[in-house]
Amino acid sequence: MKSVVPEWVFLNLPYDARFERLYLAYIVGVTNLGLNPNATQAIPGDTARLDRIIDLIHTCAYSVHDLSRVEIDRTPPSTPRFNMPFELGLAVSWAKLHPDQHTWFVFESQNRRAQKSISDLNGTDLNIHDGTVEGVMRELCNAFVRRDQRPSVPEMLADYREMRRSLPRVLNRSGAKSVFEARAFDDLCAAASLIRLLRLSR
Amino acid sequence: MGRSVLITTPFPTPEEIAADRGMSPSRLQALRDIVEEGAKRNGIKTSNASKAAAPGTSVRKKNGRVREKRCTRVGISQSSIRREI
Repeated sequence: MKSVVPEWVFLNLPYDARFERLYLAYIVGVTNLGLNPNATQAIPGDTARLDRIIDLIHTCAYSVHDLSRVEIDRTPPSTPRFNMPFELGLAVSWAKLHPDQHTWFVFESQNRRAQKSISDLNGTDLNIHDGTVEGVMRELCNAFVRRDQRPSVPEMLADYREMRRSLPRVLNRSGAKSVFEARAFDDLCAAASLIRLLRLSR
Repeated sequence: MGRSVLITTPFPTPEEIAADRGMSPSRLQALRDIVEEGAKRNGIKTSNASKAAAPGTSVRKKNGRVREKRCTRVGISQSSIRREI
């Protein structure tokens, strides 16, 4: 069994254009809290995807599951998007078996929406981000508390805006067409860390 | 779950984040250049930036009077950043 990396966070997020702003907010927010984001993009195509997802959950000390886009896909055939709740289930069962090794958080855009779609979560405190970048930063700060070098939400928002400004050049450098590609994800995580350091050096 | 957790681990450096992802030092340096250049373009002073006074700041003349520096294009973009923030 792989050992847990204490600063690793598994980000279980939807990969669609409408989610791009919040996707960047998660990367910047998690990095600003001194954590290292990981996601399924990093999984090479030639490996058994499910095995790698399970490995990733086992290696990460924390996981963040954003269920705000769990809805019917409009592309025919219309199907619900099951990946995020499925991966949440994997994390919940792992944390239940190993409570000292994994902590999971559920993020949603609306209060009570997740309770309606997954009533098994009733009694669980959810992090409601209102579908905004500021809400994501606020809820990440509520979930992950630091005593030292704790960033404020305005500081995290400033870094987010800096990231948005650098985004075209970062993507161009990655040779990626979208932020959801594996190479772009790696570059964005490193860029978020560089932007934070740059702000601190000013 | 949903409770808060206290994070006590040190902040990973960009080099550590890059190494975790198998990124080469040259790729990280290219990103550093992009980020620093973007900040400079927006009038934000970086540690490697020129040590000249930031645009729009006041300058004390030899006779003791203070005059405002002329606003430059960089200065304008800097003030617009402040408005955004």
